[in-house]
Amino acid sequence: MRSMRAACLMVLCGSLAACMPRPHAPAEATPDAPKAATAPAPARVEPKAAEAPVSTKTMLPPRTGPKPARKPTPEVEVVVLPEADGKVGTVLVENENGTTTLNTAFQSARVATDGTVKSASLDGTRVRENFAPALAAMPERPASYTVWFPEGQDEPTAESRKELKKILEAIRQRPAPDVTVIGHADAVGRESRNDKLSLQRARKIRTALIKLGIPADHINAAGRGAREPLYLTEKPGKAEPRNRRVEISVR
Amino acid sequence: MGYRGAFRFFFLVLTLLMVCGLSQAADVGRVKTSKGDVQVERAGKRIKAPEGTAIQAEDTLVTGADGSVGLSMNDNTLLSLGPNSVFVIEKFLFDGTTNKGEFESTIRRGTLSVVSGKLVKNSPEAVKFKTPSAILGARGTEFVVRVSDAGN
Repeated sequence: MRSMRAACLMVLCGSLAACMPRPHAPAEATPDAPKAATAPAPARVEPKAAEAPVSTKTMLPPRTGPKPARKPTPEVEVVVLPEADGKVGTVLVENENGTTTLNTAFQSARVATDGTVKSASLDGTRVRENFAPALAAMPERPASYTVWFPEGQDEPTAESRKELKKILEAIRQRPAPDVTVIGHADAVGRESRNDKLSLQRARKIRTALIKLGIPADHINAAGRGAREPLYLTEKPGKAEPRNRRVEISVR
Repeated sequence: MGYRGAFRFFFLVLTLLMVCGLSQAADVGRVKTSKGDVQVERAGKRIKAPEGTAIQAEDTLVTGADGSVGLSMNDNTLLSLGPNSVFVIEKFLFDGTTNKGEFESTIRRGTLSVVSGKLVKNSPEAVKFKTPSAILGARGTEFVVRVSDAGN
C-alpha cells in the first residue's frame, strides 16, 4: 500500500506540474465576498483611462460599467481567386447589411468601416501582387498516389515498385509531410484474410516512409479489406487487379 | 491513512489525470512554410512556429512585419498568412471517415489566403471565416482576405 501511495504521489505531482500552469488560488476564494469587493473596481478604473475629458464622464450615468473601447471597425477586403483548373467557387460575405455573393474570378467585396459592402471586379495581376506574401506562403497542394499489388501479396507489382520510388521521393521533398496510407484488397478469399492483407500492404508502405526519415507519428496507416472497391466484378468474390491497391495521400 | 484514505487519494489522482487528458488538445494541422517572425499563442504562451509545428484548436497564429506562414489542416484546407497578421483557430473538428465536421476561425488583422478542403465539400455551412466586420462562408473555393487597421 505504501509503495502505491508513493507512486500515486509522483503521478499527482507530475500531472499538477503539467496541466496547472496557473495557480488555482481563485478557486479557493469564497464565491461571494471577494468577488463583490474586487469586481467593480476595474470597472470604474477603465472608463477613466479610456475617456480623458472628465466633463463627459460626469454626464454619463455612473453605474453603466465599462464602456466598450471605441476602436473603429477595420476595413475588410475579400477577393475570390480562380482555381488551378479555372473553376471559381463561391464566397458569401455576410454582415448586418446582408449577404454579398462572390462567384466570378477576382470579384471582390470591400466592407467599409461603417459596414457598407461594395463589390467590384478586380485585375488578377494586381490582386496577386497585393497578396503576394500570403500567396507565396501557401503550402504545396495535397497529392494522392496509388500503388498496385499482385494477388495475395503485400509487395507491390514490379511496375508499381518503380513508381513507388518516385512517389516516395516526391513525399520526401515536401516540408513536414503528413501521410495517410490506406490499403485495399480485392474480394478473393475470406473477409478476415483480406482485412489483414490490406493492412499489411499499407504497413509495408508506412515502413518505407519511415525509412525515408518521415516521423512515424506523421503517418497514418489503415486497411479497409475489400470494402471499398474501385471496380465491382460481375460475380462477387472474383479477382480484380484494380482493387488490389494502396492509396497514399500526402499534405 | 488506511484503506479509505488510499482510495480517496487514488480517486483524486484519477480525476486529475482525466482533466489533463481532456485539456490536452489534439493536433488539427501543421505548419508547412514559415518565414521570418512567426509565433503561435497557446494557453496564454507564445512560442516560435517553425516548419513542422503541430497546430491545435484554439491556437492563435501571429506573424511579425517580416513574417509569413502556411499551414495545412487535417481536412486538406490550406491557409497562409502574410506579415502583421493575427489568425485565431476557434474550432476545428474533422471526422476522417465521413469527411464532416466544423471549422471556425477569425482573421483579426493582416492578410489570409485560403484553399478550402474536405470540410467545405461535406459540411459547407459549418465552415466560417470571421473578420471584424463580416463573416465569410466558403463554398469550395480559393480566396484572399485583408483586414486593414481603420484609417490605413
